[in-house]
Amino acid sequence: MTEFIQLVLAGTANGCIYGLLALALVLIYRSTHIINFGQGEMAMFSTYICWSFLNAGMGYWLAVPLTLILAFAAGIAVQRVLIRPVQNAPELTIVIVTLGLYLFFNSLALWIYSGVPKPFPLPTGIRQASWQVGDIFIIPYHLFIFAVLITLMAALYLLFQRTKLGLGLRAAAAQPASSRLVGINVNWMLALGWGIAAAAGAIAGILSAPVVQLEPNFMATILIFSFASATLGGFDSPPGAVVGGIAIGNIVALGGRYIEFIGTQLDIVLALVVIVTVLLIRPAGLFGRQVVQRV
Amino acid sequence: MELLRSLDYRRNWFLPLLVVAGLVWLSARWVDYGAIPAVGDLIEPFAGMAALLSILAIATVVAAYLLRPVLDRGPQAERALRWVGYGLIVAFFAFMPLYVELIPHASMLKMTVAIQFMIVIVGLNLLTGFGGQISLGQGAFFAIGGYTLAIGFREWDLPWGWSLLIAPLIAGVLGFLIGIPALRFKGPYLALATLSLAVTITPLAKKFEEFTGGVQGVVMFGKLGVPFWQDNLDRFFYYTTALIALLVFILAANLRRGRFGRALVAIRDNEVAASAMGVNVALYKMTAFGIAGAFAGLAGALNGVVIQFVSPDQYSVLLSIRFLVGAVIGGIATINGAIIGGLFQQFVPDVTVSINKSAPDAIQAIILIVVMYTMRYGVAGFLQETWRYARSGLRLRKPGAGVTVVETVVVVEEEVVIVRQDGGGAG
Amino acid sequence: MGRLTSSNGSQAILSVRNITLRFGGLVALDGVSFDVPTGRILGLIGPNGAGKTTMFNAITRLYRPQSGEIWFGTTNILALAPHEVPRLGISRTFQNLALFPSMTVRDNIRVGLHARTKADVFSQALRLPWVGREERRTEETVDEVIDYLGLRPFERHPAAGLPFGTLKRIELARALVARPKLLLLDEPAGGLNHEEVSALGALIRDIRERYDVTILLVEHHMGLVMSISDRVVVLDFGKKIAEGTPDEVRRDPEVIRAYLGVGE
Repeated sequence: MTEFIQLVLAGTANGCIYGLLALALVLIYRSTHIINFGQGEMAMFSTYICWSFLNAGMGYWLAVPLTLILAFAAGIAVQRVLIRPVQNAPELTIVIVTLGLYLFFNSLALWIYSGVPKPFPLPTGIRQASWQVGDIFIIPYHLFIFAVLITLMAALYLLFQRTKLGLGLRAAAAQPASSRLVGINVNWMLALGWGIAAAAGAIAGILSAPVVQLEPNFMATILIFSFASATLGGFDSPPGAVVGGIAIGNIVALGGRYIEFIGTQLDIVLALVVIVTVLLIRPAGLFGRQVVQRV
Repeated sequence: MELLRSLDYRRNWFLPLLVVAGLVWLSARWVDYGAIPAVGDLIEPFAGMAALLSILAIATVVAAYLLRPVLDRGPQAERALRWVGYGLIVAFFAFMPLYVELIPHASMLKMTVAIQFMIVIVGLNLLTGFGGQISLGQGAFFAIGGYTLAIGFREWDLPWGWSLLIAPLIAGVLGFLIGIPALRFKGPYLALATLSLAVTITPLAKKFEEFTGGVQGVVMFGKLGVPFWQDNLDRFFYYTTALIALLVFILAANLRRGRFGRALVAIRDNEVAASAMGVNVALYKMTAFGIAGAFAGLAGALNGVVIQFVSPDQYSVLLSIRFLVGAVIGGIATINGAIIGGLFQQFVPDVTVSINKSAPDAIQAIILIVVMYTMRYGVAGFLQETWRYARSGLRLRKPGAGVTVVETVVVVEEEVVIVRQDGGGAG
Repeated sequence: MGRLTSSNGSQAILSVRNITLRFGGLVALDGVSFDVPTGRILGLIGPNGAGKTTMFNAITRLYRPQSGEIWFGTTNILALAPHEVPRLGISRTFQNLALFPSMTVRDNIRVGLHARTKADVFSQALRLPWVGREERRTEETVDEVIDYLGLRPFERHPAAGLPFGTLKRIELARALVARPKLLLLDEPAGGLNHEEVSALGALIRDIRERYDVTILLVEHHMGLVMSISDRVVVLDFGKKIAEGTPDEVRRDPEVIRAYLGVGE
């Protein structure tokens, strides 16, 4: 039982990270119906930027916000420069362009930072040692990750539901044509969506870097888990993405331990199984809206 | 942005492009481009590729001009000329040993691998280009082919010729079956699902160590016998691969131009209407998956024969991505695009890897995005458009040639993917 | 009264029996029955939202009715998959055009023969002799239809970008090329101008003679329906409210109420 709880705690912490990246995917999918295959690599590259700041002697609590601002700006730039021209192109073209993003950031990181893993520090003020409650060890960093996720969700909720900007963002995503008629600058709203998504992805990268090592491929696996999370939660539901993320984190942690065949090597198979199962049984995901199609 | 978008073939941008590329090449004697920080190393390879592309385009226009008297004689002449073109391509590959050393960066082995890529890409052309089903999972079938060979060799001493027969069968059947869940996915979802398939293959191969040899892989060096040319294995494997590729191209072309190909395109364009015409949409999609899988499996087995080594890390996700990228850059909805895509995927990484070992992917990424903006149907599509443009331009200039159709009409033989948003079903 | 029961002696090629079709809570068709007599033109009319196109989609199995039966000769259509319906000899056109935009006009029409040809994937990959013969027959049939409908100038042009009237003709050609026994036309006059409509009327009659085909016609254009139909079935809110010859239907009080002045 102790082990089980321990696994759930670790799985939830990992799941929060999957959820964050899934959130980024969902924010973009909701507004533009694009699945951004480059999302994970953009997050990875942001994490490297953050590492560069830290390496240059900057403090954690300065480097991270700075990185997020840069990631936000980069997300906007990517949408404005690369995505917008193909926004109305066939799906294949868009998939290819986002794959181009994947390849580009991946190889750029390898080029600039080499493949040698870099150590990434815990946030200043979060201690390494764990607390012991009964037989269970609680790692402070896991709580920190959870807190960050909750805070971010709350902030996004307030942004989307309580501000005029959020209303514009939602309107542009739901009804681009009508939004344009009422004077919403839809293009900028979509770009902002990409900015927010890039920042959310960057948070996911920065949070997971201390746990796994920072190297150019470290987000690739996380991206697949996040895809599974978003699929499970529903590609058009931000809370679904987070719940899906936590679920996937736990499925992977528990499946890896209790299903002998899976072990630690085949955890990715679990993601594949979840993706295929969900798409077969309930394509819209747990929280997504089922779209009834009329022929 | 306006600038990028205005770089359209209709405005003949390949001419200025060639001039710029030529200037870069000429000035390279005096200017040390490598010294420019960050992008310096990229300038020359890009200029080279731009020059190659422009020369191809200009050659197309010139050919259209020179061949005008023949072409104007009618569709028969045009068809005959196309066969001449195919003949030239076949001849180019058939006499490869004579001049392979003259081509920079080329060798018999590299050409062999390039042709194997072409085999995979032909399958992708059918599946993704004509059928509209995006697959990022072809690397998985390639791996299945490789491991069919390796396991046959390891467990049963199976001659590799048999593996070449069995591999496409296994990969084809698996592809067909994977087509079943794929029926439920559309567009980016399908890309996502097939991507996760590609991601799974490497850990699976590592897991089943007792069959696959785990991380060490299966080494077959010098153990695959050949009936002749024992002293020149590279040549033997080259011709084996090339002959098989020729067969695959013929099969694909037959499929493309008949009932099956039309049904595939119909599905891509409008599933409801296709079904109303009697096309069994599910069966055709699955069959397309099966064919693409079989081609990839065949190429994977051939690759294992030529490399004589199979290991899990050969089949990373990047391989699957490269297949699709090659298909797209070559021209996804043209079978000829596979030739360009295969050559591109073999030689561009090879040329650019000297800059930095991660340069190939970065450069591919940039090329990919640029290609998506400037020539959505890839290089082959671009050359076709150039050809038609040149043809119609020349025809229009001739007074009284009797062209009655609107001038923007582009006569399409191998059709072009049209932008189609969702909807479009019947009321 | 108002309900006129069908029976004019001739054999029915298609029998629709008590078809009920719901979308969620919305009843689109409510116990509709009618017969399509062989060799005749049957008009299916009704105000907007009456369920005409839904009926078409049920006959071609794009929709699955909750209850009822549709018989084509001795075949129960509802037991078939959508792609099996055209093999019986049923072709259709679509109200909002459902062509294949990237394919050439000729290829669009060739697809119409899909249900009438057999080339399987293996024989075709190897291009066995019989596949070649089948393709040649396809070409002849396609040529015949292209000439009949005057599509020769466009045959190598992609369907996308052609004028609306031409697209409608291409759809008709794609349906006709299969030499159907029953042809379902969904609003063939939609979007056409006055002269085009009268030409269309003549064309539909000519098609019936030339191809010896039974036609089921959904149409808004009352003048067209009344002038070419042998019988007319009227739907309103998913229910059949009248059936009979054009004259009988025109005088039917239920129909007049449903249209309330609409008509020509």
